[in-house]
Amino acid sequence: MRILIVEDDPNTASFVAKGLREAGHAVDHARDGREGLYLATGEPYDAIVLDRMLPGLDGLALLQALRAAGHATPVLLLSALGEVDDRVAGLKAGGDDYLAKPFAFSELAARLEALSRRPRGGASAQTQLRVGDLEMDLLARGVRRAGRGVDLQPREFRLLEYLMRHAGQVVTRTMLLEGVWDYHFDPQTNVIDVHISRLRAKVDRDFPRPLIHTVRGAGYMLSEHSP
Amino acid sequence: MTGRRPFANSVFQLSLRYVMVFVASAAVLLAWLNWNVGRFLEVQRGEIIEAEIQGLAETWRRDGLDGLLAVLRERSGPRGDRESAYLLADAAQRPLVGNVAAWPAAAPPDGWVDFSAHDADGAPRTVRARTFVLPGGLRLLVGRGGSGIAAIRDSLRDASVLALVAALGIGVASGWWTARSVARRIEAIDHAAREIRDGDLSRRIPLRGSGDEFDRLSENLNDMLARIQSLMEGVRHVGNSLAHDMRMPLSRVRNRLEQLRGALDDRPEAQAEAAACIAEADQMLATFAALLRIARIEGGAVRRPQAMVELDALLRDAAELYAALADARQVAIEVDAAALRAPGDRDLLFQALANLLDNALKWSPRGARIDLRLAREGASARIEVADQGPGIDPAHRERVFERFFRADDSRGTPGSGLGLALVKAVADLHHAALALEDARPGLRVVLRLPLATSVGA
Repeated sequence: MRILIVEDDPNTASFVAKGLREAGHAVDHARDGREGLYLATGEPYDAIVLDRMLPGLDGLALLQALRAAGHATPVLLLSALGEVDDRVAGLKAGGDDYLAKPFAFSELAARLEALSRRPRGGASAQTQLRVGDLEMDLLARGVRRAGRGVDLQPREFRLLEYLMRHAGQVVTRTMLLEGVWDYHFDPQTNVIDVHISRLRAKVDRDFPRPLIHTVRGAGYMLSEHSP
Repeated sequence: MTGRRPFANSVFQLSLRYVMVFVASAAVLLAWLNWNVGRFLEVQRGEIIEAEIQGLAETWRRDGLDGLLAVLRERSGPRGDRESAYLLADAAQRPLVGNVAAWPAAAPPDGWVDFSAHDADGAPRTVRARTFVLPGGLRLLVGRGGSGIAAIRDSLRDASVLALVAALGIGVASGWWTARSVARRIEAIDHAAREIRDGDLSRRIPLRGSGDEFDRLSENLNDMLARIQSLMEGVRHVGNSLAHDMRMPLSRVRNRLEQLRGALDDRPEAQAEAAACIAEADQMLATFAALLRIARIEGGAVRRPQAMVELDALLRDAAELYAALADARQVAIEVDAAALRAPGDRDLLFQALANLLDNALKWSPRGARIDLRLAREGASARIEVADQGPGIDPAHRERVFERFFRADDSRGTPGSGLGLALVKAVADLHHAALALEDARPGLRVVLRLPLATSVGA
């Protein structure tokens, strides 16, 4: 993946860039808004990491200019503010995801991965999801593994659907809270873990090869193969 | 207002006591005045009698008995002084001339006598008189009635009583008025003090601008409050900037640890150690994040939300999210929610509910139940989270919403001590009242969220 980082804080920028390069991505770094806009409009990036507070050109203004120029590159906004108001403003301006500083690198990596693989425009018309021998029928709301029916509660269904849509990617607990429960908040306990273990009991228990994997320090991944 | 009566009473009692002392001393003064005036009038009557006797003695010396008789006839006649009393009697005390009907039985031959008699009109009167024995055995009585004196004494007494009654009435009325106005001033201070005690440190006691002692007291209290407030803000500011400045380096440490762990693939023991360090750092970061979040909500950085939130859906979602965790601990979460909407921030309200549920779960024994209720209560939505845990010592109830407050018996349990402080900040942002009650057994947290945005708030 080719990723652009627009960030004025050298510490954050270098730690993000270093991590992404180690994960095998090509990384460009812009130190202010003008340079960022120049690079973003000139080069084909798979994703952009954009800080909200920038010298020269504010992050939101850059984002609006980029979208006005017709670029649909996925943008992950970074902000030290991180409250609901800021997130709503960022998403309204054309951002695809929002992450409050400070963040764990695994959180950023997982979200970038999800953004870059997100199907763009109308691709959500899928009626079937399939990972290995696990099948989900979105119309009939049915789940089968190796041809056998799996009985799920509505929330478990949505949780599994989210994992299947992001199959092969690391999904963090915060992403699950936002994507499945639709609440942006900070749980004090690992409430998500219990939901995952229940889902595991229904999906993986009777099968020799598990599909739901725990990624230490990051979150979970649904995959045919161990990460 | 429970504070009103005792204040009014104490000042009123004080003024009443003052009025009593004043009226008593006025009564003594007036009694002395009455007695003195009476005595003076008696002395004056004696002097008039003496002067008359002197005049009659001169007439006797100059004109003899005939002259005396003429004068006595003249003076005791209709043209004489109505108050005067004369009687000339023979040696056997038979009246000869005068306006007294009979020689008073109690009268000594020579000396002073007081007696009752009837005047020419038949009206009764008390008379004070002097008697003499004239050469030749004749007896003379010269005296004066007391009706004039009695009239003066009566009217003086009446006026005194009236003055005392009036002083008493005016005193009680002005005492009541003073008590009331003092009570009002004290009540204003008391009211402000109560609001400050309830957490509004920015509240000040209103001044009248009269510069009186109440104003001076209020000014001093206000200065004291300003000082307390600035100290409090200083402490809070230090805490917040510490959290803010520590966050970035700590998160870099955390991420380096993460990279280190990745590089330690061949040494699982060192990798586990790194993972433990990461978990510790995450806990610290979560604490800082919560602290800053509270500071931002309290500091007004988050705007008062206006969007309508479906509270019943919020409750059910929160219960559903925590149900799995509760099941694992054999705790049941029961939801009883009426359909209600209120203006608010959906995510922050959910956060508050989650923190309350988290807290309730932490204290719930196995097999216990957590009740989550939502009902309309007047103009508010009453949200209730009740557990069956050990509850909170009433002595600590006021303090559990403070940052980092942890009751002694909770030291061993996990948690940052910020969960309930965040709940309080969210409640304040929504102008919601937060109360802790005894659920017998357990703790019941009640959040009263206004159903409508109040005007001007």
